[in-house]
Amino acid sequence: MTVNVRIFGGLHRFTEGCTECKKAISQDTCAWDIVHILGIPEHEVWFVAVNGVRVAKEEILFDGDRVDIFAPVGGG
Amino acid sequence: MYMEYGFQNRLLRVNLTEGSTSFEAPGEAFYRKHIGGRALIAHYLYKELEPGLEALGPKNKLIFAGGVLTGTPLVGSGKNSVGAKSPLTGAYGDSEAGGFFGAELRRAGYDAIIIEGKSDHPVYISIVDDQVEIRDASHLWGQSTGFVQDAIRKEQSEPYMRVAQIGVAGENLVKFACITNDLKHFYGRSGMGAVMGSKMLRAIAVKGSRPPKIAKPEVLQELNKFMTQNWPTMAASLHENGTSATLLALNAAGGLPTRNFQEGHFEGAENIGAPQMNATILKSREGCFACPIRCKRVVEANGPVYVDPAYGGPEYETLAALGSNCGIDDLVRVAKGNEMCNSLGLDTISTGVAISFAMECYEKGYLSQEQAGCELKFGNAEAMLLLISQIANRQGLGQLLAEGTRAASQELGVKTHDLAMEVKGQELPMHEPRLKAALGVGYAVSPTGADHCHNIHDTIFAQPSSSLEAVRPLGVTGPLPADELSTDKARMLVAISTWRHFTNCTVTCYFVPWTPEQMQAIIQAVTGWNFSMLELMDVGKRAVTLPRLFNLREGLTGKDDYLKPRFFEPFKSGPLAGKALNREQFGATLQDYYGIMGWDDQGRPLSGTLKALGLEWVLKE
Repeated sequence: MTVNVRIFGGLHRFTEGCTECKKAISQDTCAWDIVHILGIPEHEVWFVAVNGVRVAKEEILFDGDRVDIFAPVGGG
Repeated sequence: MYMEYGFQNRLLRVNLTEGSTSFEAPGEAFYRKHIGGRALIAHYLYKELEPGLEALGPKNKLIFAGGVLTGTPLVGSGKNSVGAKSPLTGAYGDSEAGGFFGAELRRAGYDAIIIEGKSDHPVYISIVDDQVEIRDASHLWGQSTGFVQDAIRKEQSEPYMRVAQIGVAGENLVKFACITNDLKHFYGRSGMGAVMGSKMLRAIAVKGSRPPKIAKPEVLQELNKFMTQNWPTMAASLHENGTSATLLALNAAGGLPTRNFQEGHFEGAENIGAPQMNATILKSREGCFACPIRCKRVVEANGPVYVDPAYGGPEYETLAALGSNCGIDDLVRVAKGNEMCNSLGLDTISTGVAISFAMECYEKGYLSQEQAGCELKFGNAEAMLLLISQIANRQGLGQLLAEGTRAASQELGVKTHDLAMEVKGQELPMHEPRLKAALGVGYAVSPTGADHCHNIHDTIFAQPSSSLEAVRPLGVTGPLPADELSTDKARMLVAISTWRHFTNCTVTCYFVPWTPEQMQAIIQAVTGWNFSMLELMDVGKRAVTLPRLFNLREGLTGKDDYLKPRFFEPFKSGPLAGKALNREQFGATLQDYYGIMGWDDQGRPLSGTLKALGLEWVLKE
């Protein structure tokens, strides 16, 4: 299974500049496992969204999911 | 005798009725107490405006003001403010913009310009250091902002003269007309463009060669070195994606204003978010005076809809206001709407909310097809573009909407009142109180009506982070959930919003991540003052208290600190389905805010509060 990951809000400073990648995952991989796999410190992450919607940390991922990792954001 | 470091100690006063100019020197004590920007503007408006005057009449005064840091080499010092009594709210009004105009004004030797009276024909003011002229602008009236900037620069033989100006919307006294500088930077809020238009003042053009003196340039250089080296990690996303980076995050969290704030999740968000803009219409990235981050977008489209890059590109606020909040996911047409607002001189936030209000009224049957003049449903991008033109030119339905959403709802009847997304008459920016609870309280108490700049964004302070660490010296003790309303949250709101009011005095950009402690060191380096954190917060408190006093004198009361009923009703769908603000908690947090600010239960500053801030002169007036 693979998921499509996007990294937002400057968190790519923890991923050697990578803002978008595909990740092979095993069954029962959770949303926040991706944060750990990529080596992004947990406290830097606001939340993880799957297919455009915020999910709980333990949300199970499926093949082809779009996983977005966001840093805290405020104004605009 | 003191040395004038940081401040130029010179205000320019231009009376357009008499065609006269004069100069004033407020002195060091004034600057240390007010710094510039909002506190300076509020001081002069309170002192000099007769209560109850007509905002679009000749007695109103329009003040452009930098702060002691504006025009210095400091990263993020490119902003300045403009203020007046607002025609949109009938209350204190001001707005800040980045760009180059404020820096140039200070380099010409002026901390502020106070514009009084009204010309009997269109004019513009030309400032080249000591030379100040009021020039005829009859040939510029009715033209686009791009045309006017080119014409003035040519006329003055100064290709880099910085031009702040209104557009056609300001000439037509649209209540939410903005002022622009360099075509791409906007004093968007509070209808300052209408005040400028009412004075028949089309533009101010400035060129300067006398930058403010700096007390300890080597210290400032060290601080600048820190930011120059560190912004690529601290503000990388702002450069890469601009403020549009926010859109997909807020959408996934359920707080992206959608279809006039009825929903918080937009199915078409991917089509108007940062990745889509970067991959399609983004032409280049630009910035403001003395800023390496370059968060501004320049976009271009050459298909069936042409988008002119001369007017920059849409910020997050615009993408949401003309996009999701109108149910529109057509990025090119949203960018076209942005270009039209920019060239006509309309605030994109208020324009978008006025249109989304009209769309909801139409869909609910409170506005007929005959009144609307088109099929005004959510998602109709062509209708959005038509209405922008109609509002600026006061044609068709635009005549009604040009008066502002509150006034339009009063005209359309009581059933539409709760559909008007405004506070004190100022349309809501694109931030959802059901996601960011204290921001809702901040909307209510803001002296300029709903505002996102001198406000808290709860989501930033909901977990341990560098942003949270940075504000601990202000008395912020720890992370609090974004949806919490409590005494702790009220304390956090006071600390953060006071800090933001302070940065609207310096006037510096809050996208450049200077901490309060660094800002204290910066003020010391520029001015030579032994400036403390206590003084810093007192300046911020003056900058919110003076506008509050102005509003109370205009007849506003605690009842004007409201939030519309929609935000106390749960979302029906999206990631925040079922989420609503709690009225009791909201009221209690509002009272806590008053109390912590030293105001009574009606939001009136107590005499002790005024004395602590050195504002006891107000008691004698």
